[in-house]
Amino acid sequence: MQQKFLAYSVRNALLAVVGTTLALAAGAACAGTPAATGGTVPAAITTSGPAATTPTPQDDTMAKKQENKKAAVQLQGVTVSAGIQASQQRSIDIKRNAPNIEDSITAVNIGELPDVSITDSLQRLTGVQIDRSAGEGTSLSVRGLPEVGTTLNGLPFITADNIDSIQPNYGTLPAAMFSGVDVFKSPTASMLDSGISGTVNLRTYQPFDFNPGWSVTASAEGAFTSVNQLIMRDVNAGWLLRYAHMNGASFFFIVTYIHIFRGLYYGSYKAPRELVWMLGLVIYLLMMATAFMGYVLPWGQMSYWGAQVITGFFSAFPLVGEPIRIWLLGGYAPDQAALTRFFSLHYLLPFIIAAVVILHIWALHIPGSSNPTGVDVKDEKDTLPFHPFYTAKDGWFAGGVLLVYAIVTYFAPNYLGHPDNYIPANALATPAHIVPEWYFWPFYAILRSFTVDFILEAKLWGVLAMFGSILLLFFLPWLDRSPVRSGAYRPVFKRFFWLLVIDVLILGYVGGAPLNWWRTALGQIAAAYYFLHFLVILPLVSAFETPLPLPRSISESVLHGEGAEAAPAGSSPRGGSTAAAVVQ
Amino acid sequence: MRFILGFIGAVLAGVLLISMISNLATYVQNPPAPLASEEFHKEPKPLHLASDGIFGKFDNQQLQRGFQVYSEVCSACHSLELVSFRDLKGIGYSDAEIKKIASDWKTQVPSINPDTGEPATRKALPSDTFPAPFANEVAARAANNNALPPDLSLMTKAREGGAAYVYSLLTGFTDANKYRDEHGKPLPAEAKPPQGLHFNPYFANLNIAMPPPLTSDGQVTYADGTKPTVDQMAKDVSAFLVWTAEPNLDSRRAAGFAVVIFLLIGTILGYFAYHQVWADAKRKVRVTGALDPENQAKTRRAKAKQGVAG
Repeated sequence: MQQKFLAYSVRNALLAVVGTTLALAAGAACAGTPAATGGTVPAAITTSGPAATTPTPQDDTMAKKQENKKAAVQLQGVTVSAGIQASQQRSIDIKRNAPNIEDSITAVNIGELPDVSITDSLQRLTGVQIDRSAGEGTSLSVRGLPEVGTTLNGLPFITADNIDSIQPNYGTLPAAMFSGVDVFKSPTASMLDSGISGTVNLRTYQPFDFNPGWSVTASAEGAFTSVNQLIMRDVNAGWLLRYAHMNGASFFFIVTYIHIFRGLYYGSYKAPRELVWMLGLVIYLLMMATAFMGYVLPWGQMSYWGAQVITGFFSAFPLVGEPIRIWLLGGYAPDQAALTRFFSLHYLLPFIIAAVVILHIWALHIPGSSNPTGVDVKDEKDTLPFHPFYTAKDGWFAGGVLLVYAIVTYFAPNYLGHPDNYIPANALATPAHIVPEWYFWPFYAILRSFTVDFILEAKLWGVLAMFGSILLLFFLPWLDRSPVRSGAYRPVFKRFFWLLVIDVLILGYVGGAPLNWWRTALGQIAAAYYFLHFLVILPLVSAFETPLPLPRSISESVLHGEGAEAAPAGSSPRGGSTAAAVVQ
Repeated sequence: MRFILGFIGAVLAGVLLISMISNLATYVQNPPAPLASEEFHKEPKPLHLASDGIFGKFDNQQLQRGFQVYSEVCSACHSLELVSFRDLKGIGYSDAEIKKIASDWKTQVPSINPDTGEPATRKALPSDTFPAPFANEVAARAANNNALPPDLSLMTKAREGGAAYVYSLLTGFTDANKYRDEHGKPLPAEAKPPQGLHFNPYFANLNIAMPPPLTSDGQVTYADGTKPTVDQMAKDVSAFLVWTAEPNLDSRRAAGFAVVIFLLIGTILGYFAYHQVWADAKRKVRVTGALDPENQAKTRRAKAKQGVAG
């Protein structure tokens, strides 16, 4: 038992490493990994297991066992003959529907036929003779002539273009490689190439030859089952791909939020990096769209009602709102059209995100990275090479994030989700509490905080404020006019910054929890502070604040006056700024 | 522009203030009456299963007992649409037993008569999922007083509280007339179950359409000799539903340990490497001579001027 567990763990480890890398790199891998972890066997009757050796509490009598054995054998027989029957049926269909004289061999798996090379299979067709060398089929003649053209999947492979017969050595082509072979005894206009006596088309397996049941269904009827049954149960390691994908979105947002708040603290949005900041916000908006559409795809209750609520935002706008909502959904309510387009967009948007990430990095490389002091680079001693310094620094932190990600994915994969999304979508039953995923909670709280129709409808206020809460971040370079970039040298700004962090956490809590009177009031205060912080407080602080003196250079801020200590006696000190003590 | 933006901010904050004041005024003037469904609703009882915790493993004996309860009691109304018979191998049944279970299943699989093309049924195969007890939603509602018995495949993932909720619900049916909350308060008349519903404080709105499914000890006879009390049967079937919702739990955790250990070692090594790499750059006392960053910069400049790489 122990041994088995160990062997299992090792195999799983390999698989999991592959899985984690995949999920991080691509995020949207759909194909199954080759190895199997506790995977169920796709075809039911591959093992007959009549011996029933596993000890079970049920007391099987001898007679019962015999009966089972008989049933197993019978079933197996039926399956195999059905496979060959089906493949013969297909061959007959090809023959019957062909405009020319054509013969064909297909098999669910030609390897199951007792043939070594493909010529052995071909000799079953009328008018095909094979040449043998040492008993093994090597080449073939059609109607007695060896001038046979050969195509591979319809494209020229080897053709008898002179009077001699030039044919591939069929002995080197194993039968198991092919899904079927067609023999054309008379050419048609659509064929690219043909021989004098006939043409042999070898058909190999294609990537999409898999059973249709093994792919995701983006249909309103099938989506929930295809995720929760096929991917989670039947596809090998499908549960890993799905949980890694689903939690990968959450961890993408976690690192993005850390990145955004760090940018806010160190003033990374200020000149000359405004463009970097704005491209970053575009990435953030695209991420939100991608994550929302991905959440809709399993078509559970929260998926459906989330789509209903979020597309409903647009209907708040007078006159044009409702037509926009219908246009976005492709109908009056989320249904097949919405699901299909969300599926396409969920696949498309990550590529656009990747493109904007390239622009983001490009825009960054013009002024270069900022730094915690916010002081510009003066000379080379202020800088360090990216490798090994920043690869090492980012490397261990990336490892730490992956570690938490792995813990959540493997041990609490549904912790960040909502139980209602394991109930199939039902347009007639609204969940008790509709909540989006956690990364939207602050915005959801802002949306819900507007409860009074004051000049405009409350819903429209909420929607405008929610969109505004993100759009105002684009105006930050003009709202915060302080010439000092880093919050480390801005004592008043620093306090308000931490207040903002607490404020956003409160908004997040209120957005995720069911509403009651005090949560509503708390959310309203927090939402009001959010707008006041960016639109009123930040401009005022930047106008009236007296920042601390800045260090003369980055290197001076890092070396806390030790330069002077280390300098030989009598020489002038290399530094000595009072501000240096404030940093880090 | 800052004045315009500041004005917008003040307007939004003002509207929020008006909203808050009007909400609080409404709350003070007519405080909402507490709902019976909030007052008398109970959180699930604690339930401890072998599969709990990060080191938990499924107890196949218990899962088989739970499967027995499902097949003899629950399956009369509830489907298990996402689970196939062949999946039962995961809880310790052999292939032969699974074939037997499938072909003996009380509901047959819908099919087509190969001779006439008319609708027919056939015996289930191990590759089939558990056939639903009712042909469709209309049939299910017609047979159950217009209530739809939900599919149980994902039940423990689809409810707040998971297995503990299922266990509490199955054992939580009580008489609404005798029921008292923890303060000894009886149920108000309007919260009492109407005709055809059953009182259960663990259910969200207190009145559930499902009649108590496990009514007496010994309702099923366990082959392994475990005493089939109502509590035991409820526990077993809850454990079974944890398995149906998450059949790969064991292998997921086994893989998780390997990954976490791998990443832990990698991260610790990365952290030490980071300190090693940065030791020079973060050194507290500035070095002199060849290691002085200023001199290093000079060297780099001189090298660059001469076109020497590195």
